[in-house]
Amino acid sequence: MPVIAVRDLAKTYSTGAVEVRAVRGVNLDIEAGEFVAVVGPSGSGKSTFMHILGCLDRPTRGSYELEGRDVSRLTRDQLADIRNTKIGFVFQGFNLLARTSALENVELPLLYRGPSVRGAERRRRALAMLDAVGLADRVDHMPNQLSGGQQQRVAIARALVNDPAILLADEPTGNLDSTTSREVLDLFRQLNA
Amino acid sequence: MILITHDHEIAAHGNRIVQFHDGLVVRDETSAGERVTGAAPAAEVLQ
Ligand SMILES: Nc1ncnc2c1ncn2[C@@H]1O[C@H](COP(=O)(O)OP(=O)(O)OP(=O)(O)O)[C@@H](O)[C@H]1O
Ligand SMILES: [Mg+2]
Repeated sequence: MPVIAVRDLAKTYSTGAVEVRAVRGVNLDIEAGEFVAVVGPSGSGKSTFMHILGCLDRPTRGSYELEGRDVSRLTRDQLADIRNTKIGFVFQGFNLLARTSALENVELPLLYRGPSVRGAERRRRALAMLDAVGLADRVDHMPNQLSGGQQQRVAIARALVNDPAILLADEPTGNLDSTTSREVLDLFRQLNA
Repeated sequence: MILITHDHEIAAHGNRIVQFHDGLVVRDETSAGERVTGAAPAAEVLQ
């Protein structure tokens, strides 16, 4: 069973009098362990598609099954629940909480899951993820004390700490120089293996 | 994992490349060059 199964997926935005058909009927199956790059020119619907895969938005047509469950018609609360448990996000702008250490940033998704993960266990898992992204020696640094590449590594650790079914990264190297971009892409490969 | 980018050089890091154009998938290939079914036939037009 594919982890993602998308059928005839479409999204039309209605803004005032204008209708924008951002995604117009996409079919796609993605298996666990695949490293898929979605590429295309500006305005081609990539982010719209990612928002639907990430349960940040619902399609206007078609179906989306995540691990065999149709999530295309769920309520906002149900979608939030799926996001917190099944999906990791990495964005261009890192989106770390300021004045909050790397360790605490990575612990956050585990906090959102409620009291099921205890403090010591949260800390252990967050430390293990920071170690996996090569930041064992930066866990107490604040975001403004880290380089861009290091901040993105923290964001990657945060996205993966819940062991999500899918990891979505939208232009994750957009704010990084070419050497640092390559390092981050290599890290994705390595973590995906 | 799914990586979204406008940059083909970055996309080349994936094992599979799905190309969007105007809200549709116009190309879907593994890095080995093998075609994945389901991509719209418009693929050839854009090459
Ligand atoms: N919230 C929205 N409301 C209305 N229109 C939108 C909204 N989000 C995106 N669009 C429109 O949908 C189309 C696709 O946008 P989208 O952001 O998905 O493109 P993209 O491929 O991610 O582009 P980029 O590479 O520039 O990020 C565009 O024409 C855009 O103007
Ligand atoms: Mg975009």
